[in-house]
This record gives sequence, structure tokens and C-alpha cells, in this order.
Amino acid sequence: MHLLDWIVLASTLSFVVLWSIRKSRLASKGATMHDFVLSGREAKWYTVAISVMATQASAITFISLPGQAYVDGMRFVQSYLGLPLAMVLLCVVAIPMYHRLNVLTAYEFLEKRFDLKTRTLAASLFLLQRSLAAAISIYAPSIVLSIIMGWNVSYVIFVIGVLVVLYTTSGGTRAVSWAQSYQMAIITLGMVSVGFLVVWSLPKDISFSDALHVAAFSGKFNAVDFTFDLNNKYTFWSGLLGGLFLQLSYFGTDQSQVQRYLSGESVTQSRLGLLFNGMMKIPMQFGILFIGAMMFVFYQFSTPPIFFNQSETAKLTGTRYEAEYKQLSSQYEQTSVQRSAALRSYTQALRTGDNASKEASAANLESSAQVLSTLKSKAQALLKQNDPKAVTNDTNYIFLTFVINHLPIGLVGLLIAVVFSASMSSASSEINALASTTIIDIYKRLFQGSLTEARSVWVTRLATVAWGTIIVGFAQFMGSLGSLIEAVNKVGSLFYGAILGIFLAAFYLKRTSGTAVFVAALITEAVIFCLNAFTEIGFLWYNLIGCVLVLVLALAVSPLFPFSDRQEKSPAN
Amino acid sequence: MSHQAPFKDVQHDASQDSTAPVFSSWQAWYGLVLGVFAALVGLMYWFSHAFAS
Repeated sequence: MHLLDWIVLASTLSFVVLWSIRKSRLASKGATMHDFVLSGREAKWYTVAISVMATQASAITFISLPGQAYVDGMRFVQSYLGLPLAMVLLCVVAIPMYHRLNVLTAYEFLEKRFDLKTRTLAASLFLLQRSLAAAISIYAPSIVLSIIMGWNVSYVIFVIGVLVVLYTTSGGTRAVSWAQSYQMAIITLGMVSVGFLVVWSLPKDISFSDALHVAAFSGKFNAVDFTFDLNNKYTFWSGLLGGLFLQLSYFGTDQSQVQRYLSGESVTQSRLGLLFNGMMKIPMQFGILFIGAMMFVFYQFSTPPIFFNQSETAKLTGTRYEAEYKQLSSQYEQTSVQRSAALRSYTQALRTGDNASKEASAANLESSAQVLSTLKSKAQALLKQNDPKAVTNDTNYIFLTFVINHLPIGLVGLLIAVVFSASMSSASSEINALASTTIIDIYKRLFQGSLTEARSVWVTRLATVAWGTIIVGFAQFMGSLGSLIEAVNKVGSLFYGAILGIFLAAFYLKRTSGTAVFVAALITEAVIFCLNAFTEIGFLWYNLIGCVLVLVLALAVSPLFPFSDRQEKSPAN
Repeated sequence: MSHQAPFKDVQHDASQDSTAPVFSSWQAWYGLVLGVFAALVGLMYWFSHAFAS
């Protein structure tokens, strides 16, 4: 990176960390758990909205999504289709209830409704799932940055972890919210800039309209697919139904999000924050995927590498596969140049309305696409032959390769700051929530109920440092995960269905005992893990299946574990 | 465990008024969000096909 890039990166990150600590320290004297965990319940709707969006949009979103669009088109946007309806449902049901019960964590509610063991189970599932997801959200950008920039991955993980723990420990939820506001500003500025630049960088003879037609012809504008196919990962139906349950569980029961909107000054502010997220999330994800599609068009005229992860291809140097790889690269380059020429003929034919020329160019482009795909597959096979552990999916390296090689000085530093900011904004919420749940639902509830407020805050700070350390440790050992944005959603989908089922049982199965729900949840988790191991069902469906299974099983085993009016009661309505 | 004093709920409950509107303001908000969602799906569907040639 150029010196200017380093200055932009360092000053951006320093400002975020130091200013967040300063702003939150002003209010930290005599802080109570209410202050530390929910920032004293003083957040306005826009703070809630920004915090909710920043928590969900980790660095994986910005590194992996454009690459996802480059490789697979924009269809991933469908996985967010369930979000707006989920926000409405949570506004109607969850927000008023959480505020009314005056809870600090989502799992406190479960003890009021069921019993301690159900609360402990749900909190434990959250701690397990969220800690893995947090480790992925730190590891993911770190490994990509380390490969693209030549940095040591352990140092990158360590830097992100230290920065996050610093301000999260210092100011709790208030510091996290302040930092997220600045981080979202950096992210928005960076992504809007790269969006304009990727289009501006197209050849002068290729207009924006030409670019749209090229992307559409290449199958990148597959944003909505109404077919119903359980084995197709991304369709309108899997996104709407499976995605609805994923988002309901994530926003309704995951403490890392519940804590964000419980910080709202009132039911009104919390609701407005979530509703704003409901309206903005899909356009935001669509915009990021669109950048990926335009990046694809850019590379149609700028000869992409046969494989974007240079650290993997470098392993072939000096081996018996090197010569063959170089030959494949050369053929790839030649075919890409021919394809560029054919694309120019195609766009010219579109402008002039010459259908014969258009058909001929289209046939040429189809065959060159096949050739390029075959060459790339052969290159990936070589990488695997050389090293069976080689990561042959380069989706996560496409965007940053474009940033490093084709953006102007200064903007590179800003985009690297975007990656760090996104990673920190998610990780801070996650670590904050892990610490809060650990102390409130596990430590204080099971072991030390009579701590003073000051002592509780101190112990929560300690837990924040501990969880930061654990997650940095986990992240160091994360292996290759394929597309990272898929990995993090898959980890969530393995657990969210059951957790949502527990909460829905609490709301709507009034005469079901905590033990029945507890048993149902354990069986459901086992079933979901089996489905993941032995079937090809798209992972988004696990959320719906898991949720329905908990409810059905809870009803089925209820006769064995009857509801008792003396021990359990429905939450106040 | 102890909690702080209850939060302030500043939401006005229009359903208690004798001249309450047919839809509460919250229902209007929910309708807006779902309407925006429907519009986005329509826009994305149009986008998916508008540039095919």
C-alpha cells in the first residue's frame, strides 16, 4: 500500500476507537448494568437502526458478496427477502414484550415463562453459535487481507481483536453504538466510492447501458427466481420462508441484536429502528451485489487472473505442475482477449439493432464462457493435485484483488478501512452480547446472584476481555470455509431454528412445560445436524424445519412432561 | 437480580380514542414497510429481465 493509504487506514481506525472510548467514558462513572448492557436505554431510532445494520453487516458482507455476484450472479439477495416481514412481526410481538418485562437479555424471558434449564439451554446455544460466528467474522477478513496484502494473518486477527476489546470493555453498549455510527459512515463512503469507480473504470467505448446488457447476458442479474426447489440454495421461496425464520430468530432471539434495540429509549424508538432496517437492508445488499456484477463486467475487458488467490497459485512455483499451470493461464488470457472483442461486437450489434451479428456474437460468447470455465476448473484441479488441502474457491479474493490493483491511491486505504470497520462493528456487538449473556444468564443466575451493580459491571468488563481473547483464539484456528458469507449463515441456520422454536413455544404454546420444550429442542438440534450431514437440503430451510420441529415435538412430548400452573406461567399480556 | 426503573413508553395508544382512525399509526408503518418490500421485489424482478436481449 502507498503511504497515503496507510495514513487513511490508521487515522480512520484510530479516530473510531479513541472517539468511541471518549464519548462513552463521559457517561461511565457510576455505571450500572443497565448503562453498560443497554446504554441506559437512551438510544434514538436512528442509533438503533445504524447499530442493528452495522451488527449484521460484517466484513464478510463486503468481501464476499461482490465476489458472490461475480461468480454466481446477484441471486444471494433473495436470502434477505424474509427480513422486512420479520421486522414487522418483531415490532408487533417481541419489542413490546421485552420492554414490558424490563429484561437485559432475551433469555431472561425464558425463565419467566418456562424454567431455569430452558433459559440456560437457549443461552448456551447462543453462546456456542455466536462465538463461532464471531470468530468467522474476524477470521474471514483477516485471512483475505493477509493473502492480498502479504500481512501475517495472526497479526491482523490480533489487531482487530485488540481494537474491538478496547472500546467494548471501556464503554459497553454505548461505546459500541458510537463506534458503529462512524463505522457505517466509513463503510457507506467507501462502497459508494467503489461503486462509482468500477463503472467509471470501464473502457471508454463501453457505456453503462452496455455494461448492464453484458452482465445480464452473462447471467449475473438473476436477482429473483420464483422456482420452488428445496435443493436450490437461493430462490424467492427459500429467501422468503426460510429467510423469514432465520431473520426472526436472529433479530428476535440472538442477544447480539436484541441488545441493540433494547437500548432504544422506548418501544417507539426500538420499533422505528427495526422498521428502518426492514426497508434499507435489501437495497443495501442489492447495491453491494450490483458492485460485484459491475466488477465482473470490468474484468470482461481487463483480463482477469485465472485464479484470484495468488497465495495458492504461488505454491505451484518450482513444482511439476508449474508449466501446465502457466500454459492454462496463457490460454485463459488469450480466450479472455478474444471474449473482450466478441463482447464489443455484441454491444455494437445491440446498439445498431443488427440481430444477425448479435446472434453470432452471442454464440461466440457462450463458447468462450465454456472454454474459460473449463480452463479454470483444470487450474483448480492442478492446485488440488499439488496440495490436497488447497483452497480452490477464490470467491472471497475477487473484490480485494480489484481494490488493490485498480483503485486509486487513498481509496485503497479507505476500502481496507471499510473491511476493518465492518469486522469491528460486528465483532464488538457480538463480544458485548456474549459477555452480557455470560454474566447475566449464566454467572449471576447460576453462581453469584448477589453482586452489586458496580461489581456486576466490572465482571462484565472482565467477561468482555475473556470473550475477546477466546474469539481471537478461535479465529486463529479457522480453516478454509468456502464462501464465507455462506459459512456464517450456515452456522446460524444450524442453531437458529431450534432457538426460535423455543421462543415461539414460550409465546404461543401456553400450556407447554419447560421440560417438554427443553427435550424437543435437544432432539431438534440432533435432527438438524443429521440433515446437514446427510442431505442436500438448502441451509436456509434448516431455520424453518428446526422451528417447526421444536413446536411439534414439544406438543408431542407434553403428555410426558405436563405443564404445572404452580411452577410456570405465561408472560404477562 | 435488580433492574433500573421502568423505561418511558411514549407510544400513544390511538385505539383508546373514540375517534380512533381505522388503522393505527403503527399499522400504517407496517403497511409502509411491507409495501416497500413488495415494490423492491417487483423492481428486482423487472431488473432481472429488463436487460436480457
